[in-house]
Amino acid sequence: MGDGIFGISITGMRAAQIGLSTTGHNITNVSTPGFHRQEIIQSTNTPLRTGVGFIGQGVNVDTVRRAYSSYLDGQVNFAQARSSYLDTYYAEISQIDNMLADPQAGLSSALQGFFSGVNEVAVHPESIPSRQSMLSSSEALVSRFYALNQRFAEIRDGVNTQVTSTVGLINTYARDIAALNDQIVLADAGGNGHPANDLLDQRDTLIAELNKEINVTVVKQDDGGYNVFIGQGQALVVGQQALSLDARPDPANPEDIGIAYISYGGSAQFLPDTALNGGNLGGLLAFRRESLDPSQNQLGLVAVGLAQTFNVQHRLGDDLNGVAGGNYFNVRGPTGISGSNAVPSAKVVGYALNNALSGSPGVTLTDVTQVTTSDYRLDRTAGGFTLTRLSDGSIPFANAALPQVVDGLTIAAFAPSSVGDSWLIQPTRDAAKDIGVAITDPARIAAAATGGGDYDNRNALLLAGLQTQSLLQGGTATYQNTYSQLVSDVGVKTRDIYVTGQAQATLLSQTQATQQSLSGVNLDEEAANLLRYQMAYQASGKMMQTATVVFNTLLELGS
Amino acid sequence: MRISTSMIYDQGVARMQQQTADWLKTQQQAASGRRILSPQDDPVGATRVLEISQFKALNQQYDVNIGSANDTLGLEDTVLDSVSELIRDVRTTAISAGAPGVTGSQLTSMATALRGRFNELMGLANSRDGSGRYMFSGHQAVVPFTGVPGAVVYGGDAGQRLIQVSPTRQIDSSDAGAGVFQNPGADVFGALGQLIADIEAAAPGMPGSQPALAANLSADVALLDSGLGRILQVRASVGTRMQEIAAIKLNGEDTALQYDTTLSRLQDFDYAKGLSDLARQQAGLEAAQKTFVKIQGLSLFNYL
Repeated sequence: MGDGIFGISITGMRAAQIGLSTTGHNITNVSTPGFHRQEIIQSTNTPLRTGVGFIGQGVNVDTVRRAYSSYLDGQVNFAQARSSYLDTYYAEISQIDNMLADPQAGLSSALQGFFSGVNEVAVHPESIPSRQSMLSSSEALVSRFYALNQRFAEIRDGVNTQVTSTVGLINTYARDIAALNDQIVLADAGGNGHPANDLLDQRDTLIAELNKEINVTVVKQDDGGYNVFIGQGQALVVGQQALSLDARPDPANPEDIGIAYISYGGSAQFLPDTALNGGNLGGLLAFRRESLDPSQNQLGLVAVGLAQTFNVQHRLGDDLNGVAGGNYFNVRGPTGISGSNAVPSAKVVGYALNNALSGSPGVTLTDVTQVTTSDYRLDRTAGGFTLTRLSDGSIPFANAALPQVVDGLTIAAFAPSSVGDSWLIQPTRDAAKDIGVAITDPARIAAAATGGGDYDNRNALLLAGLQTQSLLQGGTATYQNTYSQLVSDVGVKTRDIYVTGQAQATLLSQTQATQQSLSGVNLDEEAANLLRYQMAYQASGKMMQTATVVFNTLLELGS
Repeated sequence: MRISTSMIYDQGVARMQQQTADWLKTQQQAASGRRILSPQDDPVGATRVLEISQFKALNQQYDVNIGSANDTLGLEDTVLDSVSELIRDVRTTAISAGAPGVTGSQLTSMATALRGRFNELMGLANSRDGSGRYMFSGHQAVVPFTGVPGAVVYGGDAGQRLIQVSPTRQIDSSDAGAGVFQNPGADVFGALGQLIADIEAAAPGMPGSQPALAANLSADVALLDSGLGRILQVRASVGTRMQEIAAIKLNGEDTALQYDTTLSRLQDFDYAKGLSDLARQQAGLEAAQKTFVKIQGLSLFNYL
């Protein structure tokens, strides 16, 4: 009889002790990231069958488990990947937005200053000081182009650096998840069906961290291991094995750091930007593709558009020495070097998949008024050449012979080339870097019409008039319009990303609240549990004291 | 619903951060006086600001150009005024040369005076403007008129010096000398040269050749009159142009005012509204801080 009470009170004290430990564990981990609160699962012991019926045998702790829902955690991860994507995109595009923030610091004021200089020469064509002032305002305009383009280049460098470090993080997480897979599978096997709660928390935390960097899909295996996939189904973790990504210059565009997937054998496969969604990495790549490239191209379009249309008019006039005007601005030449060229050239980067590149086409901006802000890819096919306009994916010509004229560009014929070769054509990407003032002698400004005298301002008037003419983008936009469009596009996109980001942050916060309502630690609740288990322990102790008294009564009977 | 303790912290802090960010933004707007801190605040407005700023700057440029045109036309007007005075004087001399009883020595001294007037006219026709340009040389940077009475040569050309004074209007800021002084049928140099020649030719025979001189002089006066007519015509044209640019200038000033109003509406911070926002945001932030501290103070552990 006494043995039974002793035994039962011991089970109660033991269960209360485990309860206290678990509560303590929860309290101490209240701020541990990724911690899921744990609880003990207890049930009655198998009762003792006697002649008077089943006599209860106290309590048993079945297991300690964490409050976890793969669905709710998955929701948080998904929302987090999108939120990180938007946050990173916003952080990057804000840099452009801020760069364009001050109307005085952008291109507009320099453009205006330049045309004031031209107007001054139009009023005083004979005056060397007026001409000198026009040259100075031209230098100021050119250096503003450089400064803005330089800022774009810095932002691009920043993206490249961040892509590299993000890829490093992804690889580290992949290795850590693979290692934890190993431990968890072992723990599961030796744990008699008890879950290895804290190891599971650690692995889920890594999955959550990984989702901040890139959107991943997790598939749980029967043995408890996680398989992790990215992009278009590329495996990043398979059981105990981690694969890796590599950040390296994009062979088709070495200016940009891209992502290569290193598969089992160690062979690298280049992943297209668009395949990598979500997370910081997705945000960086999308920003570069959707905002940075078009913005820099747009600035370049203003530069090369101004330079070329101004040069054409300038060449029609006579300078102060009665000599026909030359080029006023320098533009990119066929060899990629900026200089006094009659027609600007596009930047062309060749890429041969298997062989050495045999040649590259010369691409000139023969009609700058038709040039767009898009980049293009030219592919050598068995049937000839195919051109893709990258901004909208359209194909201006396919399997055709060169030369071709598309969007104001002339793609010259060249030889030799091999099937599989491809070329990235960037008509305006570096234009804001390549522009320069071609003349240094103020007398060389061609203010006069052909054959006119020193007081002849006819060509200067025409040059000044270019400011208000819709010359670019198919005759729809002035220089200022083209720049304003850049400001507008960046402003709209920044606002869009901001607003979407705010909404996503709210969604993330809501999913986190739901997940936390199941899995989070509430200190008041734990304090109550502390009291509950303390009382249970004390009651079981009291019971043991009672058992001792009962036993003593028996002993005293004999004395 | 269960609430986790870290959630209470995280959400409390997140709200305070949001309140602080809003408050800081209003503060920055107030400090800079700008409603649009960067294009994302109002992409359409930011673009409009750039476009209108260009229009405003262009408008200012036209105003500067108007100033230049006004200066040179004003100078031309003064010069033409002196020229017409001079021709009137010469005309008076021509008539007095035809007076009965004029002597040879009188004619000789008249001719000498007229040669002086000729040089004076030459000086006026070769005037320079405020920036040192010959006013009547067209596009050529050369002395417009050279020569002696009876043989004056125009070295300039017929080039117009147009100045852009509005988006759609170019004004001729000068007149080429040939059209002013040596217009076919209205040649002041020719008239004066002829007059001098006639008087000098008549002087030795005086008073004998009176009738011939009278006929010549009346032809010379007719020539002078048509020359003067041309000068007055050009001067009237200068006046019309000055009137036109005065009207354009007024119009430009009105437009500038409109641009300023639009720019102010687009980009200026509304202080009345902004300062009330600021006070509200500050109150919100303070409330968030107070409630955060209060909620953090609530814990069952306080009673254990």
